[in-house]
Amino acid sequence: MTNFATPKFDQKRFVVKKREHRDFREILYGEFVSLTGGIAAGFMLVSALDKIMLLPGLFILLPGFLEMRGSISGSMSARLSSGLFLKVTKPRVSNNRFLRENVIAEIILAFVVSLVLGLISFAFSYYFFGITNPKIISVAIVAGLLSNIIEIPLTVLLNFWLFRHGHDPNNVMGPYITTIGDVVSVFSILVAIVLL
Amino acid sequence: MKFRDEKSITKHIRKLHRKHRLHHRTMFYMKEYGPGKDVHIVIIKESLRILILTSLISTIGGVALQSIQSDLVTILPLLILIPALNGMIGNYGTIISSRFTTALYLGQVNKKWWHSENLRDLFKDVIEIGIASAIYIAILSMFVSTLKGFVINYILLGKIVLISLITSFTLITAIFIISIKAGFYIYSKKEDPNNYLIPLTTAIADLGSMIIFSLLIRFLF
Repeated sequence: MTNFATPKFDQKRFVVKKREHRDFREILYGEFVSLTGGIAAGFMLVSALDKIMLLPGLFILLPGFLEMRGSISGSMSARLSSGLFLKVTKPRVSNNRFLRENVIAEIILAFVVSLVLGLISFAFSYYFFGITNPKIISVAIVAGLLSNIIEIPLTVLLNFWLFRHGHDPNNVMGPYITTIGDVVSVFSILVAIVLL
Repeated sequence: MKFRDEKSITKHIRKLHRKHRLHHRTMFYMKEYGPGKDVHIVIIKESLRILILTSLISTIGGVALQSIQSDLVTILPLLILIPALNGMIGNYGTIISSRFTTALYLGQVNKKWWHSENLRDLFKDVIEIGIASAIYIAILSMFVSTLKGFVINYILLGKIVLISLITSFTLITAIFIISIKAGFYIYSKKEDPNNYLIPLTTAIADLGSMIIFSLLIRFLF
């Protein structure tokens, strides 16, 4: 007699496969949100092509500036999340020491790193391309300050809002902060070029 | 466990460090929340060096970009692609580093890492998503450029997809190998790989993506 045994249901394997599928989906969704934001920032660059041409050496500054914005806001967001879980701060904007000190640190860091980036971009554009354009230093500083004005409230409010609504900001903020950072950075650089 | 004030939290963290012989920079490293310190000075002191270093590395990538400025301003999809491509590879660096470190702490990988099913799955996940993302940003940048009146054709589309794919594939593979090699080394020195791998891989991603991107544009256009 042929044995038509029912195949055994391997629960362990099923659970593992399900978990892997979830990992894949989580990375994919986060990545696509981040990429779409990146393309939006690219579109802003193209829309202001005439202004970009006014500032020789801008392409030297751009990757460093995008990196700086993502790193500073990303670290601040991670610290705020840790602070919320450790109950060092409450999920609402108030004049508490932890939040105040984080904001001060973010402002000073953005200013110092923008200044350094401006100086490096000026030196590199002179050394490699023979471009003498001191304006790039002031554009870096003004763009750094402008991006702070927009990005700090966004980072703080979004972190608190997510936490209040039962989400772990650590899981959600990463892709969003880089997306917002890219768009805000490009916008700030373009505004700084127009202003100066 | 309930803590009465910040002082007792710091005391407890120090006790945990001593008990489990943890390096002072490893997890539970929350000294900026401790009492008697200006939090912002601690944050600035610890972040400034690595921020300046990573920004400097990215600026070197910017030199490569500046050298192809004329191509970037005439072929609009390339310019649209830059922020997305720059961020994408960095994100994969973060994902690979953090997941590898977690697997390392959980004892799911050993020195013969190529036998680890966990790492094979991670590589497969990231490569598949990397390919999908590379095609997505290439097509989206072409589409968005048409909104600015840029005329596209199949050859240009093929070239841009190719640039995006080669840059992503090369760097994901490189970052994967570097993360594992450096991760094992850092772990063997009893340090927390989390603190080193993410800045290292994002810096490699930023510099590498801009250099490979610029070289491919020089070669293909």
